[in-house]
Amino acid sequence: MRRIISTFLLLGFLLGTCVLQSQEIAVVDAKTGESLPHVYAEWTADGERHFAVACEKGIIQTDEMNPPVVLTLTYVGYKTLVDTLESVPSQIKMTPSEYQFQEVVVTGQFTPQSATRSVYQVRTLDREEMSAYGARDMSDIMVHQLNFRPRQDVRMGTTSFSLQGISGNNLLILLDGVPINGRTSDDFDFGQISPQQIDRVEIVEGPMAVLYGSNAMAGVVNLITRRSYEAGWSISAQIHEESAGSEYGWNKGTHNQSLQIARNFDSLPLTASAGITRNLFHGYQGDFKRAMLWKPKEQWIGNIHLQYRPQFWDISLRVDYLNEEIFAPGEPVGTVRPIALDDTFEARRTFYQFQAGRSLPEFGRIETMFAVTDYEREKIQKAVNLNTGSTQMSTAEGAQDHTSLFGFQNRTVVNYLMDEKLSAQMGYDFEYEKISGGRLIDGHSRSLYDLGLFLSFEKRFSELLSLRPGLRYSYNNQHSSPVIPSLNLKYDFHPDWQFRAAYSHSYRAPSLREMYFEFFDSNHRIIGNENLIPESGRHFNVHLSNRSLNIAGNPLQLSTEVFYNRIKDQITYGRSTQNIQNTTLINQSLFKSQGFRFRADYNWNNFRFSPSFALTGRNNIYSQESEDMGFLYSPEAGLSVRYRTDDRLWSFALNYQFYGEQPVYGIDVEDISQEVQLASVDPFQLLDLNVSRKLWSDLRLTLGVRNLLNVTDINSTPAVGTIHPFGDVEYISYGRSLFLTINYSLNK
Amino acid sequence: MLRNLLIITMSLFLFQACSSDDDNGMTDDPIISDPVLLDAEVGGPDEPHVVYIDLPTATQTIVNRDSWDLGFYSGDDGYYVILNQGAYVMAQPLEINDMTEVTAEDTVGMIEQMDQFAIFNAVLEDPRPNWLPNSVNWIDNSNGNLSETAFEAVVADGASNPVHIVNRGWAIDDSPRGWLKVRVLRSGNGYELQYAEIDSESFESVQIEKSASHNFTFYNFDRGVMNVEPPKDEWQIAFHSGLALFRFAGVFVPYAFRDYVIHNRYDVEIAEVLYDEEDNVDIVEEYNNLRYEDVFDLDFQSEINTIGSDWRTVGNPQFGGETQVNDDRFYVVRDAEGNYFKLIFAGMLSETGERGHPSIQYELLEP
Repeated sequence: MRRIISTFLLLGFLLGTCVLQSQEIAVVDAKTGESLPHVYAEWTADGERHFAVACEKGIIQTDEMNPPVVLTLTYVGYKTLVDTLESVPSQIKMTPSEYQFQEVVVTGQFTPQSATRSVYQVRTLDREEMSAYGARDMSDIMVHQLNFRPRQDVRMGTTSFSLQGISGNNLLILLDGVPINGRTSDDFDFGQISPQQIDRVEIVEGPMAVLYGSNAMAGVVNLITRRSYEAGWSISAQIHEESAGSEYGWNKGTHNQSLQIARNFDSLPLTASAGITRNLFHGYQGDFKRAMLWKPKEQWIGNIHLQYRPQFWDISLRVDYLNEEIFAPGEPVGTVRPIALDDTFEARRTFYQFQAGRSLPEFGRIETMFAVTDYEREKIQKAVNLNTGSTQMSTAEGAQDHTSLFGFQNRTVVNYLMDEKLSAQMGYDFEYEKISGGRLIDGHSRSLYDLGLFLSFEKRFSELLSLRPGLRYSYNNQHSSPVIPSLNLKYDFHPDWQFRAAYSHSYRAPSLREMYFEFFDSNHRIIGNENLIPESGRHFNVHLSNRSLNIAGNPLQLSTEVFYNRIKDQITYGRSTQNIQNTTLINQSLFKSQGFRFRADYNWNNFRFSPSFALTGRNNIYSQESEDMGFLYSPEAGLSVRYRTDDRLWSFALNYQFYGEQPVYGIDVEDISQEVQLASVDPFQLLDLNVSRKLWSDLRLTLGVRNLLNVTDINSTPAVGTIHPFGDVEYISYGRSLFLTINYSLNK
Repeated sequence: MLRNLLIITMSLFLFQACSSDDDNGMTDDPIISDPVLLDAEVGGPDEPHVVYIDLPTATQTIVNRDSWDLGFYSGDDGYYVILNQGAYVMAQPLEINDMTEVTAEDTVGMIEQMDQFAIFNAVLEDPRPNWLPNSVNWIDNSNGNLSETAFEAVVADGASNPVHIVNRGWAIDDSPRGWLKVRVLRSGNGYELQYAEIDSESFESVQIEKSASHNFTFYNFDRGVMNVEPPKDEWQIAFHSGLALFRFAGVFVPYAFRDYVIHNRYDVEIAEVLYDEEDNVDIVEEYNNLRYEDVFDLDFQSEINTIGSDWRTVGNPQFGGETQVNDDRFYVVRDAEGNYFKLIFAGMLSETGERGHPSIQYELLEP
């Protein structure tokens, strides 16, 4: 109510003074010349402080201003201007700040809209921000996002993440709004995404299970590819060279190349683009004699994208292709007669998506999407006699196999804007999956389909309060079908402050992989479990953030969140009761996580500082008989610093992330009593620095250090349910490395 | 009877083929003095064979590991019964001395416990069943000490020998071999073996003699007395897959080992030459450099599992580690004649990468 009154007062003030006065200053954007409404002006005259707010036309009334005077102008998204005026000018230009706060987001929205208006808390990484990491692949970027705890699997050369203490299985990854979770591996591998092909990343923190279904318990990461180009040809090429620790050379280190070409046909509403990326990593041996601790890996990632956008329509066709080969040489087995087993893992994935959307004036929008995933994974094992060099195909159990997955998805969403205050979103999604190959229990191929219907309303009760209730019904051909509700609330209790709350149920049926997959390699023996039951969760979070506070003339943005997740029958890894050497999937009785997150962004001159902190508590209740051991908390902190010179020629980035000690309950193999003990995973920190220089207008050179603190591995104790010896090692990196990125982009 | 007994002579010589007039392994064969590289024919990944190796003649004797149930000790120093670890045989005594008094009621609960796979599952249960620590008593101590066999020592006072419940374990083809009640008494200079189905009111009785030439007399309940081990002075080490005690997640339990190596209790001793793993020695070079004079500094052990499973590591997701032949050790074997052989485990995989293809290299050490 107070807000409304103050708005009226302000309006009255503005209306009353906007056009009449003679002494006035027009504030405009320095680049475009557009007038800037609501700019805040402050000056001191005769020992008294005065202030004024520009009207809609960007005009500031300055009656009491007697030069010389020091004038300060502040406006969100623009550099704060402080100037001593000898006379009152008729126009002042403001320069947009380096860092935009007014992000437009699409994930889960009725229409693309400003992040501050969304009922979901959405964080965006734009292209510029992504380039500040000097990333080899997407995982280098995600590693520095708060609450994304990485887990490196050196055996397989993959990186997965947990969010809010919830494993990657419950984190949904979208490519242009279409789920792409790699369902044949443990978790989605961000290492298979090339940042060159991504324009923007939207991270929704909080449950979105009603809208997106099964995997969206912890959150959604939407990878949005580039959609708009200037007319004519655009070319972007990048070469990334990086050492592996101190190793670098023709056959050492990382050598990545990427090329993107786009054509925007001026005469037609048509854009075509294509890109190809090759990532080549030569591996890092570590202490092995012949094997490699970090496996050599080569990836070819390609895409073709056509967009046709006549009036009201938005039609796009996209094909993404990945070919990945990981080579894992074996240690010599034997002394006098050594034989080594060399594994090659090949993965090929083609992902086709067709999307069509039509805006319906006065009604809303309708969108439909079809996607097909074709995935193949092959393991080839060769036995090499190291005395004679002779190589034969291995006949050992599980030495060779081939798995393929076919997936089809269709999703249609209708956004109906009933009136200014009420909109509805309804739709369905259908998913069909089939996996076949030698890895399946009994060797049969299996299939699964899933149909979801969802409906949600967003009611804006006033400018201040929005509510979004939603419902989802899902039908799965193998499991029960509950109805799950959600409720989101957004309340702008202050012009600058937003409060959001979300409550949602979630439901996830076990995937085919979890039920039927047999996964054998040198150090994984994971067997699916047909008797798994679906997970069901309850998620709650509240979020407080502001648009921009003005601290000493510089904008400060704060955001803080408290979350609670409770997942019943969570599907997790456990020991097989059939064979001790196997790991299987089990329903853990109860998993809970709770914690809070805090993040600030502060701009000061050409700097931006973003400190962040999170505390995540996890509580695993293994079986119904197990005692509730309470929450175990681990902290996380981050700091990113960005600096850019006024002329934008130089920029500097620092990315620091601290992962605190992670307590876990474990069982010591050597302990006779076999009692569950409190142990921990050691803390570690990652610090990257880079400096970037623009040469001419099209070329940018970036030189950086990754993992400056040279963290390689930490001691860890795995969670309850595995009978791992204490003192196990979790690998973080191969050590401090240097990189150089050369980026060329013609047109934008 | 000889169906299971197969003698293979000199499977492979690396450096030279040695002439040998094979006269069924008589001990007066000349000792091969050149280095020998020998593939133990254990039969591939499931290791269905036990392989007894005579180092002086490079002879292997191959027997199916499920070919017998009980072994009756032949030595003059006592009356003992051993179980076939290769078929996962287990036994425990009852407090009953009369075969006819034993009924199914006396075995209640045993089927859920006294079995290799039942024990395996129990290790994983939470909480673990109370009976689990008892499982160490259901097999013979892997070190070969006859006072620590699962079967009670056979005493002179016939009435004091209890009835045992025997789980005959699992055959090579993974079929269960059944349960019996068994009682052993002394009889003359040998044994009287009484056995029957658990519910049976009558029982079979068999006379078993001690052997002058062999460590044990081996008996199969289906087929009678079997030829298993070669004569006691004609083998030194054996590849013998089967149950041995393993400290597993904090408790000792019987565990089905592959690649397990035992040696002959008849005057054979083995010393392990072990280097610090951190030193990263070239083990083949160290092995090549060992001379006859060096053996007198070594510590020779008589426990038959001195080698055991220590010669290799099997990588496993639960316990970590890489599958390898441990390259920080080799062995010196002293046979009953006082000959010394240095012995190194050469490999454990076939040319196509399969488990169950162990090989050894050894050489007679001469003064």
